[in-house]
Amino acid sequence: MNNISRSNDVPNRRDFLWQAGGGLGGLALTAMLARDGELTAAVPIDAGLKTHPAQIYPPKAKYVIQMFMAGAASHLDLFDFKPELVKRHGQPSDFGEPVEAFQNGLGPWLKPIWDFKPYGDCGKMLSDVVAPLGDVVDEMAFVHNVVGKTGIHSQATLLQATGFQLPGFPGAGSWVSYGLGSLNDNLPTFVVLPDHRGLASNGVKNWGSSFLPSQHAGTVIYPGSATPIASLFPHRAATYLDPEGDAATQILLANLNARHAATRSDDPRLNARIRSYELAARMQTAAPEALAFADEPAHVLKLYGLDRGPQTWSKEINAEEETFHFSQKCLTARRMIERGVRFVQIWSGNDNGFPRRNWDSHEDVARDHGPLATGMARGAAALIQDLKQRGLLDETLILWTTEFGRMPSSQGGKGRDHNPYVFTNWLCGGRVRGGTTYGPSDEWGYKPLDRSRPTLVYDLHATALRLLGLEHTQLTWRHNGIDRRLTDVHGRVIEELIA
Amino acid sequence: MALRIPLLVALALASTAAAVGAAEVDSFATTVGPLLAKRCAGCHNGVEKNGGLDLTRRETMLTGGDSGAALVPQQADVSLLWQRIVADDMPPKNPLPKAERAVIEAWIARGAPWQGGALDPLAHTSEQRAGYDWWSLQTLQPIVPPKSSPRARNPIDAFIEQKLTAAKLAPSPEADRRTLIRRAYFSLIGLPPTADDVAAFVVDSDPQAYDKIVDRLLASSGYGERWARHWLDVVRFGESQGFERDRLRTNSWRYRDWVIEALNRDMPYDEFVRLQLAGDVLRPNDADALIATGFLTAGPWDEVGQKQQSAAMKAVVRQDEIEDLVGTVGQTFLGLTVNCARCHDHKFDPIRQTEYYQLAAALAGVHHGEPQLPAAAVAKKAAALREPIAARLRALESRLAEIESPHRSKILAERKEKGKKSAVPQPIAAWDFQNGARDSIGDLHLDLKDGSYVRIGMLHLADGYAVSPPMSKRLGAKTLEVWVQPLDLNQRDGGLFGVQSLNGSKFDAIVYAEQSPRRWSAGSNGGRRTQDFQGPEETTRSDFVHLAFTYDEDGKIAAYRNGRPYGKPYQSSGLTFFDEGNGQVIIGARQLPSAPERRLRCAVDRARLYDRALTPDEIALSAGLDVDIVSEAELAARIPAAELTERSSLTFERTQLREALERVADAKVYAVAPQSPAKTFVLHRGNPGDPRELVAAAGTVSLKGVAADFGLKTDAPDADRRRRLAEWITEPRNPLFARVIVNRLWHYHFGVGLVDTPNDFGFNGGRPSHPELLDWLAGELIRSGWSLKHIQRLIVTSAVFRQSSQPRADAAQQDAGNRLLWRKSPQRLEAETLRDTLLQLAGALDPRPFGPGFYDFSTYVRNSQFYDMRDVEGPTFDRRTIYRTWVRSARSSMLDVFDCPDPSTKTPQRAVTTTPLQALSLLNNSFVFRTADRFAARVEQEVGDDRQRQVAQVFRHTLGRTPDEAESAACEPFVEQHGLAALCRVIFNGNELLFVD
Repeated sequence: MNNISRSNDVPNRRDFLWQAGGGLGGLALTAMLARDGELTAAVPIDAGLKTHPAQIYPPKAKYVIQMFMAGAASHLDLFDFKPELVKRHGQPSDFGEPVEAFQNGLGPWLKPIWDFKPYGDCGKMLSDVVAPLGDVVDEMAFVHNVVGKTGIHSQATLLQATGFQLPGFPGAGSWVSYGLGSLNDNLPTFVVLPDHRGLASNGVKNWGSSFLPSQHAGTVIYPGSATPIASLFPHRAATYLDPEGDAATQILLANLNARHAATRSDDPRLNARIRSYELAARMQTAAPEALAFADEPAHVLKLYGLDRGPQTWSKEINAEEETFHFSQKCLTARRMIERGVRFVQIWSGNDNGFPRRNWDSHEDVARDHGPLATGMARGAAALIQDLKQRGLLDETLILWTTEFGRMPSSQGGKGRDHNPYVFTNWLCGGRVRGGTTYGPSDEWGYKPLDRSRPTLVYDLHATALRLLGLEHTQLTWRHNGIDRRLTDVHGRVIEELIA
Repeated sequence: MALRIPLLVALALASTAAAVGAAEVDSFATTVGPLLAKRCAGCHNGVEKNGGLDLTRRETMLTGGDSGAALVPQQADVSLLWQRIVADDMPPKNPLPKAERAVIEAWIARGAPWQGGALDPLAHTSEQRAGYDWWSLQTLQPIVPPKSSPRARNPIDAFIEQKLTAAKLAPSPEADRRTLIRRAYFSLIGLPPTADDVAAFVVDSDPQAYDKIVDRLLASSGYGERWARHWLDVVRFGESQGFERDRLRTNSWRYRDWVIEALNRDMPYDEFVRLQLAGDVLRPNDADALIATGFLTAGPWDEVGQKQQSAAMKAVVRQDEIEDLVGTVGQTFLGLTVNCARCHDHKFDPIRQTEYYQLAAALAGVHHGEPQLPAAAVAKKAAALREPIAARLRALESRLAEIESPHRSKILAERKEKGKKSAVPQPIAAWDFQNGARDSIGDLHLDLKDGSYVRIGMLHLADGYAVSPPMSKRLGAKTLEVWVQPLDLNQRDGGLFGVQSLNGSKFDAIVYAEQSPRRWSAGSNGGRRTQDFQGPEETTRSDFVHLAFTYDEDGKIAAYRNGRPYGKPYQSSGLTFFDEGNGQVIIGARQLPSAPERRLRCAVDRARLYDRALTPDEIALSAGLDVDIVSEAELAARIPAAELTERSSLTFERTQLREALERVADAKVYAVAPQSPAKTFVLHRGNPGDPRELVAAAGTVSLKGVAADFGLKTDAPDADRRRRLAEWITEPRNPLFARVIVNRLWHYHFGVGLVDTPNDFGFNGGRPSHPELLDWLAGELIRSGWSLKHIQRLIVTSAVFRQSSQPRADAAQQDAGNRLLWRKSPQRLEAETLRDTLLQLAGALDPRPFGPGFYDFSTYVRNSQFYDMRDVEGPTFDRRTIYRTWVRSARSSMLDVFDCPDPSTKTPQRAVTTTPLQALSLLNNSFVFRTADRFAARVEQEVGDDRQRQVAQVFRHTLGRTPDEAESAACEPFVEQHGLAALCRVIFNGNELLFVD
């Protein structure tokens, strides 16, 4: 059997070492508890890290922040300016070929809902609704010819999130966690920050570890909520349990487990469990610290638009509330990667319920995209600036994506139907070549200009893995007879995007 | 293991350009041909011609490829074939060994004589792939167990001893009695033995004591509950559609029950499989056989994808569905990843792309559906299932009454004292027709159209209708209430009262005689939210009828007639919203524009619109019945907080129990609803837009001993296809069928299979650690009449299973992975076993088998179905975890962290991972605290408040032993200080409970 793949049955010693991120040698629990003050000290970055054999390139980036716009954000109204639509606005649409529409969105041509203006040294045209990104546009690389495979929300979300349009495959963050391992014993390697309203199409399946070991699953965190991480602390039903009792519990448990393991010294799983309780105890201290903004200076909070804190907002979707929630996740993401979390996924928008709580603007682009894009642009721009001023931008790859694009023709007047035939992604940081636009779409933004060379999600994933130093064809896991990988049997690294 | 090298397949029609002597025929057939097939033909064949070169025929060798002729007979030096071999260019990465070079060189020198037709690149196993000679594809050979030592308890041990002896390793001694009984319990029924069971067994001197326990466990219903879970993992059983809509399948529990029952009855395995593939065909009118086909529909189903407009996109979704099904069938029963051949010939196993489509054709008639079950069979099952549910419901209702009634009577008494009546609910619009068609509450005054008129306090509608201006507020949940007298009871399709969007594209309306004559139904655009309430027919037209339809937040629609429930409420596809400014009321029609024949001819006395779903009591009151209502708000204000929490939990449970009663009676099952199969074509590169040749249902020729040809035409009916597929798979000569299942059994008993990839017996899978044992077990299964329990009894009573799990340095050094089985490897409890064990320790486990599963979520439909996980409490939820409803997007975080698999993917072996989140979950989850509390209470009840006895009792129950001195010394002060429940929590988290030695 080829030595890159590992079967997923009972872990052998090597697997275990891999899981534990590079060796046992952990602190004894009692000693650790005694030195309570040291619990928050992060393990030195890169200490004792084992590399996956797929790590064959010098890494340019160490972390990924993925922003996922659920419901399908319109490339035409945000990033991909089409003067032709302005010119032909209101005229009957004519694609010059039969169009497979998802609903019935082949009304007249619909011009961008907002005006576009040039920004930065690169002069990139951006929509007014994402104007804050103009300040950082010279750091960004746009890909306008991304092509999907389906106009169905659930499948398209899976495709962008896991590389497969069927359920049952690990999320991109799980693969990165598996490929790069942990930089931090106190926090998970893959963190998911869902939309505050709820989960997007497919729910937790978008970040499940599937056949990869479960430590690579995304851990859901709801910043700012009463219980940001499930089961981090004893359930409130445990009235009899005080902190002292909880500490005594840990000590007694470690004691009993140590006696049990003493006669079974060959079983790495036993020691792994003992260690997992030590890590859990550390996480109890590290996670709240990572999630609290108390030590953030006022100018940083202001940059993100978080200086006013949470407010009582109107029931209707509104820009101020969107800004608060999206920015809260962006700032949390920065704090996470500073503490060694490898992959943070930020969601904007949840399911396809109604009233619209996501980007699926069939009826009215301005109504939904307006507030969502305003909040996203403010948060994302602040994050890019913040990372840059801390010198973290080169190590952090930001990947903005969505399910698919929207049609250049209208649907019911103010809305747009699904367009899986072309849409936009953008990348930033992680030594991505800033200020570039790669792979234009056609004059309508309906399909790629060069239909023979579209960009597929596999190419973007391959490129992201390359920036992390991983060869995408070698990052594999054998499952039911197949060496599975994030990029299936596809994927081409887009060299033009790499600085 | 020894590789068999059979004769070349191509022995037919021998006539080639070169003259061939007898000796050379032999040499070509046995050496040169196989060598070329193995080393060269993989990349240079008729289909895949790398460099334009085909090396499977002499003629094409002579013609050559892009670089010219490959072969010049008698002149190796100028033959490109030879040049590339000598230069180590070919085969790439794996240069030919010397001996093989010599064969080729000599063959060319002899003039390259050829015999037979084209070489088959799939004939032989090579370094890169498996051929038809692959070990698992060969017929089962009769195996005589080797000689065994006196230690052996049955033939299994002989095979194990043979390998250990060869490796100069000794087996381990038998495990102690306590370990033995725990191991047997967990392995066979997934629950620990009680303290008394352990104590009795430890002192039992009967030499048959262990065997008796094994027999008892195999005969207990817990066996099926444990082993059905393994099967459900493999067939990726889920109880919702998955994908975007993820609709709940409220009756797929019947398949889960069928599996449990079949295993408990030890249904012959071939029968077990035949029924799952084709039960509906093999035994028409047999409810159980139809339920068994739930296997075919256990996977996800993409509702949006299947219903989208684009036919091309829809075809892709259907092909994906078929691939999932072919993959599941191939891997589950045959350990073959047939699904890998959808776009091209299998890269590693001898399965042609055509064969993938032949198997796809065999399953092409399979569609998901909810077929009707014979009523009598359902009623018979329901009788047994209903009583325990009803009993719990009664107990729960009486507890609810206990909580509520004092407050209720107090409220009513106070009201009476003040001379007040129950308040009638307040509508948002009301039309009494006393003052024209004005809205007496808001501004939705009606505009009378097409000759409708108001007279003597009534709205008269002959062919006309009445319509309101747009509503200024958004309307979601609602109640439509109306008093009506139809003019003609035999009229059809008449709209009465409802709300529509301004352009008429969306509406909800009370309609008459649309679904069936003389009955009321909830009309909706395209019938999307319409189902038959099955209420009674209208018989007389003398009186006004009071009708009220409620539209709940969660999508439920209920109807009432004269204040009483009308027929049965149902879950619609979801609540529809009418946006502010885009909704209006219509009376006398369903939607506008409206054809006159779609208008109800009637008189309307009053009509009211509410912006919420009224309760049954409110409707009764509004209909003029004499009821007293105490509102939820009034009650909630009086009931103390602790009881309110209990009440909320009880009402949640009550809703489920009521639904469970309906589900028990529901004569449907989520199973196969076959359709006439669409034509199956080989799809070039798997693309539905590029169909090539038409194929008939058939198997793969790679399985020795069974004919791949089903003898079916390309247009054969579904029934024939599935029957033949089932016969082909379960044929005793099928080399894989028995091997794969005995290996699964071994896998679950030992943690690792003899083949460590239970779903893949192909090139990419593992090789058997004990090939003869595997074949002997497979043969034994067939000889026993396919009895799984027979095989399991052999396994569990063998000396190898009964070995100690203690590590031994000498053996570990040589075989750390324990593939030779010099000891029994400890196994970690699975997620379900852990939960069930905690429940049993708490004395809370409800052993009731079968029936609708419990929900640990609340759910509602709003276009898609949503599931909010809930911290559930109550006896309904204290059943074994297999009775949890397995919704694809409603995952239990505690089960998940213990590697409970995703029901969207086939899971032949579960991962065993260890993470901090797992530790946090088992420490801090509310379920753990609750079970620890209950366990502690149980122990206190058993032994009183003596600390020492409490600690000892906790150890006896959980670990089957008493604590040693050091443990007592650590635990007793801990209990003293933090309580007994805190100790229970510690033990629940301990490795000794979690790992079974």
